[in-house]
Amino acid sequence: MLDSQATTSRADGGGDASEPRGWRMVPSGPGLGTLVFVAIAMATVLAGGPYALYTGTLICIYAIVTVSQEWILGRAGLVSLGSAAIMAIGAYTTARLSETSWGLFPVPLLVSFVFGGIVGLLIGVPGLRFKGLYLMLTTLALQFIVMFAGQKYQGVEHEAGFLVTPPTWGSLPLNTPKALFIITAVVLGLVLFALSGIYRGVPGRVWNAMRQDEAAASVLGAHLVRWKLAAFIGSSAITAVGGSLYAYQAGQVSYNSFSLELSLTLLVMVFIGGLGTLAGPVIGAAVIVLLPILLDDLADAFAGLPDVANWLFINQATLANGLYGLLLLLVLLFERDGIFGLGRRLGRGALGMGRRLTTTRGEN
Amino acid sequence: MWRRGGTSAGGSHEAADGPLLDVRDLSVVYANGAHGGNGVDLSVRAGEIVAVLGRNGAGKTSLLRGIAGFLPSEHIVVHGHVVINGVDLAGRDPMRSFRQGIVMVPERDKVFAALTVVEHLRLATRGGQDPNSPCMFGALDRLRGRQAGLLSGGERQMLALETAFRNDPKLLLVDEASLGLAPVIVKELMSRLREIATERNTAVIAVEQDASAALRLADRLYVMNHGRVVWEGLAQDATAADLAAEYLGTVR
Amino acid sequence: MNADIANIIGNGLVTGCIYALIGVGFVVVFRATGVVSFAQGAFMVLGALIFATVTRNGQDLSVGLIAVVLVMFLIGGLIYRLVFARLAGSEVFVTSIATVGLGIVLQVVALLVWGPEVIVVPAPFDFRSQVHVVGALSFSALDLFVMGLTVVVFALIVVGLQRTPTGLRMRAVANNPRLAAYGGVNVVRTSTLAWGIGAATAGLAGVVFLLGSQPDPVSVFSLGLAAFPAILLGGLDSIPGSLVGGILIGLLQASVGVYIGGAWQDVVSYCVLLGLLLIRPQGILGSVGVARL
Repeated sequence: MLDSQATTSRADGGGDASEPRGWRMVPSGPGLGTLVFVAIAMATVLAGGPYALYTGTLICIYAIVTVSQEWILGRAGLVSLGSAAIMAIGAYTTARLSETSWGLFPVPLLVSFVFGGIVGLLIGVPGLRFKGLYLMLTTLALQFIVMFAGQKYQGVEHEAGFLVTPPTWGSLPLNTPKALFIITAVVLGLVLFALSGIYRGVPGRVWNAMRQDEAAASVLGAHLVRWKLAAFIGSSAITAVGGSLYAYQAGQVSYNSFSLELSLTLLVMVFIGGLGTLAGPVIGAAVIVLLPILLDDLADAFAGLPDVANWLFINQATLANGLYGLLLLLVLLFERDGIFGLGRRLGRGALGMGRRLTTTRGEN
Repeated sequence: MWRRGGTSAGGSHEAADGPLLDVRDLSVVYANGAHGGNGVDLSVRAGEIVAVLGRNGAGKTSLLRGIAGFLPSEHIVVHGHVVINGVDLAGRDPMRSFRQGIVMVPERDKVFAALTVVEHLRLATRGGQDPNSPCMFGALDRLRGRQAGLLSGGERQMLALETAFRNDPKLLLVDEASLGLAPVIVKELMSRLREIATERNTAVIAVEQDASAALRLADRLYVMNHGRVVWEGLAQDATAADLAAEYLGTVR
Repeated sequence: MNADIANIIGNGLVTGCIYALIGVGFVVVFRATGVVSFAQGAFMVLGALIFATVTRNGQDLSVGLIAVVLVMFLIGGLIYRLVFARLAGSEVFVTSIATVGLGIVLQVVALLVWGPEVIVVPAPFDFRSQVHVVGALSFSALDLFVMGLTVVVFALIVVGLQRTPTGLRMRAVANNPRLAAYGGVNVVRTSTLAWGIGAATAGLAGVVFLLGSQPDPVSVFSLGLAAFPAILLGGLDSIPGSLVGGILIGLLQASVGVYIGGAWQDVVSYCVLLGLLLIRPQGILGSVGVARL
């Protein structure tokens, strides 16, 4: 108890004057402001139409995955290019279980969690024995192999994908937009709660030490490979849950929804949102899901210039893609803490300025 | 002929010929927040051989690296001044220091393991010396074709120094040249280093933990502790026992 | 000679040469700057499109190739200065993710400028004319051109690195950038050169792929990723390794194509990659240090 408080306060005060280049751990207990913000966001989505609910659900699903990816990226310094493949594992599991007697919600979700963890173990053991870049290559291989296996598994019979039997509780359908949104939001909440607990405890401190200095951490007795493996297994399990929820929302599961492009987009979300916090990846997921919608509005705004509007419309997907890439580069070059870090810094700056103003006034 | 170690005892910098290098209040802050050196003052005249003694973590290597420069990619902040030929090099990159005649032989990875001996000589072209000319460290002549990664510790040190001298430095920085070498080799190496430096009128700053090696090499000594210079004086005024006591902190 | 074997050798060598051209650029960049580049595919797309633009305007093959090499060299160098020189010293995962972002941006720029359609170029010479070698083995003029180009590129790079002062400086930087800087080597300039070479060879790989199969930009991009098993097999930091690994994977894929089916080609090479990570992570010719740490 006392210990975790000490860590929190140190992490809080440590980063001001001589902030080293890199990411810091940030205390992740939700403040009142965060809770109010979450409540407002939830209310807005729930009050909105089916499209708002759909978008909200998608953001929650991606956020579940990005938060779990941040676990290995921001804490263990590992990159996985196979998060979409692990989502696919969860999605296939869910699709195949949904039509059996095991299909009672949330059984498929839990089975996906376990399967995701197992895949994480199988991939992590060869991938983590060497430098981080080998995990990247292993997961790249996983991505291609799962895509291929999925295609073969679907065969000609299920070429368009496996249908997911909608989840119900007795006579209560769980696949209405509202029910799905609530379910995904609750799962996201649980994931965030569990991870913030883990990060504040001993494991969080070990990963943090590892991120800052692997050699030092190993001297202190941390078995690096085992800790990395633990992070990778946990994150894979959660990622598969994200895939499972994705299956419920899409209603159909096909390999081509889980391409390398999705893996890369998920990575972009994590980096853009910001590493080292739980809020960062959630914000990243929201930004990337909302970006195409904003581009849509932009096209509408140029309705007076049909050529421009048309060009924007035709190239919308490509442009959105390019913007992700550009945002990613900008974040890496100029604001390593991502949008969340930028926001926090601006906020801190504003706060500081406010404080200065009040002090001056007080002196007068 | 210049005089060695004559007038500047006790670090009086108002010597008529003026210092070649003047380090003032140097501190180095590494990317992880660690400090190396905490306001170091030091000066070296042209052709003078200086040794810096101190324990691990006293800031010796940071001092040398602060003079030799850091790659921008290392994200290291340098405070204070490193002035040579009227140019302040503090916080600049190694190329800048090299242009002012500073060449450094680091403690670890002092040679390119993947390159052969003769390739090292070819890389060091500034002195205008023919790569095929005989080596100052004669032992290297029969090793020309060998990969540096396969050389012994002593041979690596010789190759590193040979390469450095072929770049015609005005100031040579040597970090822990004696580390890991047999005493008899250290003795030989230090004498040869002193000979060559004297011959070529090269100033040297050698960081050492081995006080007897430092005494063998240097005209003047600095002792560092906790990132500061705590003692300086002529080599002839100090005995190994004095120095050991000084930098181990048992006296005062 | 059995027709299947002849087929495997023919196709395998040509595919292998493309992988080798992608791989050699990757290795040059990796050695000089430690960046694991996922942007080789994007450089291929740009190379192919630049070549298409030049040759469609009536210029012949050699002008097209020279234009690709020069423009890609400049683009690669510029990208190093703008992005990777600033990221130098960051963790591998930061720089490699930056190459992912860069790859996306370049690909999008290419799509916006040139469109997503299949890239068509006029045949610069009589591609299909067959040259009989031995038994059932014969190569088309295009095959010979691809192999010849690969040999020339490798010869230039190897001789350049081994025999020229600039090559020596590049090897020094690859071995130990800090020591090279202490010795007066301009690390930034050397790394810029390496990125230029990496982009230029990838551009040539794009041209070669374009001549063989008239692809669309997105499939050119994907081929850049498909080269990873070959690069790892040869060894991430070995230039001869990129040739050996490329050709071995090329031959393997060609055999899979003949005996199992074309759909299995990529997945088999990725399985090789996985197996390799278990047995010999440094690849055939790579140095052990690359895997450790």
